[in-house]
Amino acid sequence: MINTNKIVDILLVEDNPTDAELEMRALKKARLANNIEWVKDGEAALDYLFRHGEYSADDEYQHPRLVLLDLRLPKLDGIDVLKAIRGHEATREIPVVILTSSKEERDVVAAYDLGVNSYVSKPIAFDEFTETVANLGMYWLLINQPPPQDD
Amino acid sequence: MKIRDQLRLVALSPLLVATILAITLYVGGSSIEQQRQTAIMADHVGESLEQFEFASIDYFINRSSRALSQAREHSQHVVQNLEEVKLYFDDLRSTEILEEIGLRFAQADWVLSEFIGMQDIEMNQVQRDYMLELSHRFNTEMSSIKPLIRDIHGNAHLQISETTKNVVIVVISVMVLVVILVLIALSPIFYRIDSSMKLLTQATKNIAREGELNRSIEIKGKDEFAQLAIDFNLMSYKLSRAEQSRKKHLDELEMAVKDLESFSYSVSHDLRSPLRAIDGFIAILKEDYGKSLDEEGLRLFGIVQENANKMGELIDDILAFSRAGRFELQKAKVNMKQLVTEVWDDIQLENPEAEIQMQIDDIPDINADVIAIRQVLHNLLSNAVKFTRKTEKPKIQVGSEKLEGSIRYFVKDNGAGFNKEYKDKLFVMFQRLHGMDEFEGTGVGLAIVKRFIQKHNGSVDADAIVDKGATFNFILPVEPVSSGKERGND
Repeated sequence: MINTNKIVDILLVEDNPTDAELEMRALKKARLANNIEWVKDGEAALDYLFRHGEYSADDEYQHPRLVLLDLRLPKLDGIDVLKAIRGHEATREIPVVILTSSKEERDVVAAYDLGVNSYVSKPIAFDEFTETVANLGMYWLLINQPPPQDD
Repeated sequence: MKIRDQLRLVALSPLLVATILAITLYVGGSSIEQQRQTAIMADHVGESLEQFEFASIDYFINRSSRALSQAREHSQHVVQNLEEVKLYFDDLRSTEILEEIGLRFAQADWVLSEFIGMQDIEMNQVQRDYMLELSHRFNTEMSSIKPLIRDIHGNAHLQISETTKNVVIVVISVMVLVVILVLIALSPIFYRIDSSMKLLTQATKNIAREGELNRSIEIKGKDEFAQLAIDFNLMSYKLSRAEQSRKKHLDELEMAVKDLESFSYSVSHDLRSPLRAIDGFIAILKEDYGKSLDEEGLRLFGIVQENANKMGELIDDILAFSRAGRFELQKAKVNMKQLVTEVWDDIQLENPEAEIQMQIDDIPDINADVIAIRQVLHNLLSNAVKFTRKTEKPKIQVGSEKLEGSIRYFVKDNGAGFNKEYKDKLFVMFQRLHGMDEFEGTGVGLAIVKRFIQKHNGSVDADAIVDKGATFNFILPVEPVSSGKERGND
């Protein structure tokens, strides 16, 4: 049983461990890495958000303030995860940012059709990549005004 | 039998008609000629009778021996002619008339001989009366002969007109008969043509209009239509086979395109991650362990990073090229001058250090896809900027020229240029005419330009002089502005 008592700011959905490590390093450098939950596939992401499987229901659980979502994922891909998040009342308003290698137009169109908050393609150069990830975290966690919580 | 041979046979019928007509006319003509001869003979009889009459009357009055001998001579002629003319007339009526003419002439001749007997005798009253009676009798006989001669003459002419009528009837009936025969001979041919044409027309319509390619028809027999039906069936069979194989190839092509798409998708996604890892972890290495590396170690890491980035650009360019190939044009009126100005502004932002004298002519608008043309202009203008970098006073000109049914746009610079011999290689993917250390690039920009322009049914080419500059042309066809789907100009 995983300890889920901590408050999670960012849910990082990324199957590639090196990308995940780079992303977490960038967030850490921007001092945003304290509360990150990293899951490696789409199914785990939904389990986490809907408290299924290895994640037990917990009174103290709060939705993350940002989901960083890759598109090509094992089991369930990013588009399906986004569909599920936007399809449920409880998770509908969570900010979701697609962070992916793909620049394909069809992926961008599909993501925006499902109401993604932002679509960012991962830069190859590390400096740019670090800056992009850090900016994303800063914007969504510090600058953006989230919708008021119902409870 | 073949229809052509049948028609040839029918075409022989005029020859038949001509032959029959010729025979008829020949037979009719000779028979008319004979009858004319008969009429002339009848005239001869009449003439000799008349001469006999004159000579006899002369003798009656003058009693000269010359007149007598003439009368006798003419009498002989009459007998001769009568005998002859009898041979020509074979109908009963004419024979009877001729008999009567003969009898009456015999009477008249008898009167003549009675006169001769009385020649030297002194005449008493009784004798004179008898002579008077004889002359009366002569007159009666001779005058009754005249209408008979007319009758026989008329009979001859009647026969001529009869024969003429017969000839006309024969000719008309022969012609009618031939026409009927020709129609009878033609009707099965007409029927064959009509029914075969119906079948062929219907089948052709099926193939042409309804796309029912494997359409066979059945026409039995050994004529041209049967052969046509066999060839038609073969043709439609081959057509449907060709269509099948075309569809198969199209399916294969679609499959290949799909494979290519998923390949480029994989490239776009999967090839980037390792590159990012290389670049990223070297950066981390440099950050965390940079202090323990000497200068050479840092330089080597720098080279690895640089190449990772180059490979990233290459991947982006390959993807851009593949996207250009799949790109679906949406044409609308494009304000070219405005577009060039916009693209030039972008490029200046990307190359702030370049100080280039730019000249944009009043180039005409065109119906095209604005996204594609923007990319074309961007690639050509950034090339021009790139290759004028080492030029002292760099100049770029964008202009145009109206051609027949199209417009040539050009981007001209006074930069490095290239050797004209290699201009065919310019627009080919990954072909570069300059060394990497001279001018950077992947050799994809012009390939993309060519793809986009070809999609517009246009063409590209280039001209240059080494170290003097290059001119890149793209020619776009002028077509009416579409009112359908439109993309904005910006």
